[in-house]
Amino acid sequence: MQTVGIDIDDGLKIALVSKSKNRQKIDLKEFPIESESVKLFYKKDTCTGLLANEYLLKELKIPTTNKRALQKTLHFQMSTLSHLKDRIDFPLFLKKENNNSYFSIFTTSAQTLKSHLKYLKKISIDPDVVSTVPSALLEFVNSIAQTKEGIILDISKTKTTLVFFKEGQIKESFAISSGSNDLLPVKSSKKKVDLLSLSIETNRALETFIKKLKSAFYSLEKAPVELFLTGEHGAFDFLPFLNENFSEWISKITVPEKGKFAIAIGLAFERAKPNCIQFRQKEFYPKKWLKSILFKYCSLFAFSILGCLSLYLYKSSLLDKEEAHITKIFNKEYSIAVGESNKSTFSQKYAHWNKELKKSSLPYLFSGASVSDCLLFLENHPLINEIEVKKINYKLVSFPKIGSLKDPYKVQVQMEIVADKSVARKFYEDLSKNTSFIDQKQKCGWKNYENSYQITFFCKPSTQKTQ
Amino acid sequence: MIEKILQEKRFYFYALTILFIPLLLTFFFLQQKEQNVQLKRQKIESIFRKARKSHPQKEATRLFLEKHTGVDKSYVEKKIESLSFLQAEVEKLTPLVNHPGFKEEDLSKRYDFLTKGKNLLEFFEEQPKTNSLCKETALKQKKPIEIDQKDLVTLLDLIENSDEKKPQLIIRNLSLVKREEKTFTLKMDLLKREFNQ
Repeated sequence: MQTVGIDIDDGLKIALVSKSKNRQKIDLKEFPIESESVKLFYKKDTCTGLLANEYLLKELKIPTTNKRALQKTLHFQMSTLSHLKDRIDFPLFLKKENNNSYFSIFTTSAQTLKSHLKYLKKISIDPDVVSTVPSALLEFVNSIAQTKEGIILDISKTKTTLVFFKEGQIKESFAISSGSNDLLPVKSSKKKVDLLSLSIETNRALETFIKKLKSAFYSLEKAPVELFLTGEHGAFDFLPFLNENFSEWISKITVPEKGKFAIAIGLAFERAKPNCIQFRQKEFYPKKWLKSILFKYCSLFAFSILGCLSLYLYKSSLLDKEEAHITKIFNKEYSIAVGESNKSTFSQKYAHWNKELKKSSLPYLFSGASVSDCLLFLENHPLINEIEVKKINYKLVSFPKIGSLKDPYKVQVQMEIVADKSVARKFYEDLSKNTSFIDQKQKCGWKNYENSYQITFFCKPSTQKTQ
Repeated sequence: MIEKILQEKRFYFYALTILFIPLLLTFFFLQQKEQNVQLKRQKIESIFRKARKSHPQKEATRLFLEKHTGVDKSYVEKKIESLSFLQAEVEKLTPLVNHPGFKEEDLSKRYDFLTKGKNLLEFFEEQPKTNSLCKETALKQKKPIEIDQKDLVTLLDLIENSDEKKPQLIIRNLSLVKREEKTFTLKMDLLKREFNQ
């Protein structure tokens, strides 16, 4: 992972931090603002910072630790902190304590951010993240020392930043819009100049600078802490000056290595943090990110289409194979059953075959019970010798005929018998229960006459077509 | 504008939904195709079933048409209407009636009834109906006749069970009333179908 911190001074100070698993590499470069070679870094993950006077910092305590409740109340709570129109807030979660949640709220105006971005655009920079210079300085100090409380004084060529931090969090920060370049025209001198040796009256800029710095220090708590002096001090030696004037606040002065690039390095570190301060929100959302999101989305969409297409083609080919296989079997059976025909498509062949099959079932084939069948059935009945058949009526009540070919063959037999009542009744009951010849769907009829009995039944259709 | 759209949570919902459209379309088209193949398979299986079932039917139809086409159109007249019935009784009566001393008028009348064409099976034909395959005619018996059991068997064999080439004859109505021991009165209607070549 590579992140780039860009500190805009009279030139551009660039820190390229490359992080791999266990290694961290920091490349530091300095270019004039108009330099073309700076553009090499622009495509990387870049971060710039707003000065301490370009944003407001407030602490917010919300009496809940519930994530949902926090989400709901945070927006409202932030809006009460400032009356700025078109403001941009960034809540930085600090800690949870005694069922309370603590946040640092960084607020800037849309106008300030717009001006910052506009200036960067002029020099062809479109940063991914706009954070703050004080937070970058704190990140830098955190990377070199374990101190939880201290002061950071960054004196760059065109600006000065003073940060007071406690418990690892920024408590106060100040920006002075003058730096070492503004103090004295002795930039080219190779020898360090002690600020104390200079008469204040000789340099108005120096006078103003010292006043501002003093005013900043006087607003801080008077508890001696470690001071980290960073930045580019040019020809000046600030140490005696600081020891002389601010000893009540300073217990020790540390001048870190690479302090010249403290802001740039801090910004690069800040960018690498998962919860880095980000003012580029809403309409200021980085275009690069939008492009990246769109590109990723389009790639995903294209991948999805390709995947789906492959899936479709694969499954489709399997189905085609299956279809070809069953069609082949069908064609083979078709040619055996129907023979060669001029039908070419499946549906034509299917319709033709169906037609042929319909032709083969001729309704004229007699499928009812014939008279011979009926007489044979009765003759074989075990009770036939105990009864006298006086009359038999055989009637084809329904049969297929021209005009109504779908009518089924249906035979009704009516017989009049003379016998003992018990024998006649048993004969009737036998017929009623017979399932092999008598159609049980139709009820068998029974009638008593003076000396005889009439039995009516319907015959089952014959399974074997006989005539 | 685009920035604002991208900030909207709804945008991500729609974007995700759109991402699933190709997948949904793929499944839709594949399902359609699978359904078509299944439908084709079902059709083929169904026609194979029908074909298997119709095989004996087809054979029966072939035999049926073979038996009932190109037949003698006067089969009923020649084979059925020409039959003489109650031959056993005739044989019994013949020596009696021919005897010079025979004077029984009733027996003489009975003999005449049986032998002089009064106990013959005669039909009249109703208006035939025709279609492309056959001509269908209803035959109605003019008057009841007397037969015995043997005659009934002969008659039914000729109408229902004969293997020779003949028009299709189906008994529509048959009434058999017992007269005396082994003698019946018969009345029946037939349906005659003559099939074209």
